[in-house]
Amino acid sequence: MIEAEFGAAAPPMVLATEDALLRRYDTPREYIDEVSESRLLGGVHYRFSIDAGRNAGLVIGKLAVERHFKPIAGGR
Amino acid sequence: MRSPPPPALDSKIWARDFNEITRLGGKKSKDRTPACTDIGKFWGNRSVRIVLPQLVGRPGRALVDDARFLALTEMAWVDSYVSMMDGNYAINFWRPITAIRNAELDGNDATGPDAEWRPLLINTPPHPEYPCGHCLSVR
Repeated sequence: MIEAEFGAAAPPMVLATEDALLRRYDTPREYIDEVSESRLLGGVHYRFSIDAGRNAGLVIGKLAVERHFKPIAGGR
Repeated sequence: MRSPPPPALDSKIWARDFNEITRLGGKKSKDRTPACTDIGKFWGNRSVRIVLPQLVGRPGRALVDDARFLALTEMAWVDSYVSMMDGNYAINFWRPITAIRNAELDGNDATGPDAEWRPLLINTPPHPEYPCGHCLSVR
């Protein structure tokens, strides 16, 4: 959905937090890959669950874009 | 929007992924790099939606477009959450902390129990495992 709105070259996303951890994502793809992988590294999700979640998320994201990310009156 | 069933417990995929998370996801993992530990911890207790404020309010973007973008992504986020919980409770799959400590129950010779195993993240989410919710809603 980020890609649909901003293009593959979306602005970088930089997340700085109170516990001094810093994450930076230059593309939506980096963000998606790292968040997904984090669940394996955290010890809470198996690889096959990550793949299943990603696939379902892609379907839901595409549906949202196709059905709702449309120009509205006034040309937006 | 329900995911296909997870692999059978006597399958090679189950053994492969069981052994991968046992090795890389444990609190005392020796194979996870410090950078990967940071990644696991960072997203441990955060919503994937925290990136969205980074994207709005930029030069050339109209306020109404940003507002619409946030509203629509929030809507899809709820859809992803419903899909995740639907799968979680329909399939009711065990989390790694349960599976790894009780691996003798899976009937798979390629997995073995570790009674002391804990995940990197202190709190395993208090609902079934499959499919991964972060992975569903990160879009």
